[in-house]
Amino acid sequence: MKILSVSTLLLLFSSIILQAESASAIINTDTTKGITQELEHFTQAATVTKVNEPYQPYIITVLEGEKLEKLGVSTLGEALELFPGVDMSTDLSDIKTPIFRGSNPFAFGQVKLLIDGMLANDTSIDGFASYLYMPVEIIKRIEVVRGPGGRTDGINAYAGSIHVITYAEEIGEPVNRVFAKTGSHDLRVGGFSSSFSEGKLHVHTDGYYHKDNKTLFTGPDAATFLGNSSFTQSGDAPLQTTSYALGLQLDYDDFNLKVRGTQFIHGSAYGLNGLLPQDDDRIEIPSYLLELGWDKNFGDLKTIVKIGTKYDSFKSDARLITPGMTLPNSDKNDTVTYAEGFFGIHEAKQRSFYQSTYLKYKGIEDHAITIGYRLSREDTYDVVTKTTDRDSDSGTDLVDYTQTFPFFDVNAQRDTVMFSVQDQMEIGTRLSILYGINIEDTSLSETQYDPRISLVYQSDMQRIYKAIYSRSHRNPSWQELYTINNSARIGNTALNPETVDAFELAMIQKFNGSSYFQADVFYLINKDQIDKDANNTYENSNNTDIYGLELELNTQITPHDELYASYSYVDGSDEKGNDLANVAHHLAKASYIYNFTSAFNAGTVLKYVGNKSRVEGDLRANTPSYVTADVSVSYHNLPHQFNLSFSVKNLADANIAYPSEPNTYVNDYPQDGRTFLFSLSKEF
Amino acid sequence: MRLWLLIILAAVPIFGFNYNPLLLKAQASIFPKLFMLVKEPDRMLVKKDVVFAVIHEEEDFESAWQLKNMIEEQYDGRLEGYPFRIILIEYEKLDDTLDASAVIALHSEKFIHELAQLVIKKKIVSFVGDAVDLKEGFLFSLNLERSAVIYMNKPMIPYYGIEFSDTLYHVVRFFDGN
Repeated sequence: MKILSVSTLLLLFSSIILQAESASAIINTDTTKGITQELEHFTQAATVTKVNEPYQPYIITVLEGEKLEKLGVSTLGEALELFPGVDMSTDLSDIKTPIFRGSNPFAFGQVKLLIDGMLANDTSIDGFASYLYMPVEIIKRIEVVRGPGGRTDGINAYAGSIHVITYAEEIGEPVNRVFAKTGSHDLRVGGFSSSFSEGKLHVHTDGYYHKDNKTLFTGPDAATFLGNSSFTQSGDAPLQTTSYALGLQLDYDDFNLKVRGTQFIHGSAYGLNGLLPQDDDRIEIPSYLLELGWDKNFGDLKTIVKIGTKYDSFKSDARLITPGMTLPNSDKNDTVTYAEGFFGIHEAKQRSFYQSTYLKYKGIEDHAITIGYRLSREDTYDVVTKTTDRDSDSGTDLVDYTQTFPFFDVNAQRDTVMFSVQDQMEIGTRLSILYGINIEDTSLSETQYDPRISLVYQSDMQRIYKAIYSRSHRNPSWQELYTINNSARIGNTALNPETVDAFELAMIQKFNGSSYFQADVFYLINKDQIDKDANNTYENSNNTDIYGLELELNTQITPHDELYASYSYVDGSDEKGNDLANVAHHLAKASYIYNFTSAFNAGTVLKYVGNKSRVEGDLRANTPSYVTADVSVSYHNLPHQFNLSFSVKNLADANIAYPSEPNTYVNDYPQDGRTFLFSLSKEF
Repeated sequence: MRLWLLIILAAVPIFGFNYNPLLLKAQASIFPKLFMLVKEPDRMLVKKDVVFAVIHEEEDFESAWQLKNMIEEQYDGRLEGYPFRIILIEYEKLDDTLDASAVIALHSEKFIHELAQLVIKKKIVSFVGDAVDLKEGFLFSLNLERSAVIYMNKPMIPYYGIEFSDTLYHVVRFFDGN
């Protein structure tokens, strides 16, 4: 009986222990499942926000908006100049564009700009000058990928891509702020950024207004090269800018709506024909983007569907010929003297529609497969051409030549189908291989096949190696294809896309925290580069081989500072052995922030841009090198959440000039000397 | 209290090591869950509470404070039924009286080795933000690499004398010193 009782008790006790262990196992399994889900969540967040940038299958640099503010950087355009291997160029209309690794500084469109995932390059010239004035206060971070490896779903990058992420991104703390700035050239800027979440609904809006009265002394202009040397002028080039923009993003459950409108009005700068315009002459490049998206996860399958449209235009309202100049008439059998000058209003409006569907599948172990397509149609829907009478001096009265001598082909249209497939494969814990191909067919050119393969190898926890091969192309812009009845630029519908085969090797040495050193070398085989010939007709003028290296260091010297420095070297030649024109072989940049307390900090930006040689046949001396130093001080009031900052740009008033095209402004395009900026922002 | 803190933050040079906010958030979320995979958590309690000590350099106070707030926001004072507290301790003020269930060590050039010796001696579960510091003898780290990875310093487990649930090994990658 005793034995039975003891046995029963033992059984009962064992049963209790087993039940307790079983309950504990269930809890532990749930905990482990929770950890696995969290790891997946943070992996996605780190990939989206590029926190794990060293492991990405391309060469990428990310700068945070907050850090840029501390350095006194004011706009997206200024920020881009801090990235390794990036230089800036401009043209007669002062439409600026970043040049990556010295790749074709005569073309726009080799670099793609995406704002919160929407392609912002305009159809007219494939540029994005209007967005370069975007204040850093509404930018959360800028991701710059150098080389063609960074193309995103359905969008081809050629020399590189810039992805601007605003505070519309839901990851991280919402930012609600207003800001204002004033400074040199009567600068006035105001703007805001605000986000709101309620349940599944997330709303973000931002906007800004920018106005300045900038002029810079320049000249002599191109009159001599147009056979009217006695009318050569020097004077203040009108470079004033008025720009305003509004962005809105709505996210609800799996749907999102993105809208962004930007108006950009800029002085006519150096004149479309290279003749100094009047003070109030101007160009307008508005841009409107709208996109509706649907992102849905079905287990291991993610579906991303987008449909969108983009409207942009180019308008010039300016005096094109200096008063008193004599030019050939429209039949070129006589000449006309324009006593009051020759005036013109030129406007071309373009629109594009696109739809894309991408499927991302992770159901096969160690593979992430993406497959999808993007369809787009771009066309011109309105052209206006009004000028002074081409055959007699009509004074300031304009004649409508829209039907008879349009400056742009009103039938311009391009349909594009792109199909892409790629697989990112993990081999063990250290090696990742991404391989895939984009196949693009357009109504204007032959089918393009753009493969890529990228290996990322993590030799240990602090060192990563990358080897990348990628091929890409750039379709000619509308300006290069469809400009007609214009002596300064003549389009060519027979143009082939520019192509590049890029070979890149990179090594990243991580230190503690976010400190790292990155080194990469690259070799680019560019074919069919587009430029104007001696008759100003766009043509596939040359092939270039470009090679170089980039070094990048991000570290802290003391616990109170942040140092970011880069050096890049680029060299190469075209098939005739000519040096790369308008390209600085050496670029060195450094930014340093010292935090005295969490309330006070000072920052400086140093830049060295090497000299640039001229195009073949241009006998001018090289564009000189320059060094600039910017300094800034900031005060951050924590209790009342406002920031004050003061900065001086180009402290030593160095002479900076961007290269001009041959036979235009012999002394190039001068840039800002010393300027001042005062900023105030308040967070809520 | 909040105002005082803000005033203190504005007055002292508290900028320190660069911590990524996403990494801090991931640590705040995952480290307490890892702790709950200890087989006998009752043995690790401090006066019946789970106590996490965030050890930091003076200039990293703001990051430590953020980490504390993130953990408190997520767990609201309870960790699977146990009362849960987070305390902040400066490296310079550390000594043998350290009493905690687990330690989260922020960056320190000077004291990291000392802390590792202390947590091993006192058999306290230890977490670091950078896997490189596992070489000192800490137990776990969380890194945001190509994916978010928990590294576990398995060879050190016997020195701590702490047993973990077998399910832990499904979510960690073993640190191989390299």
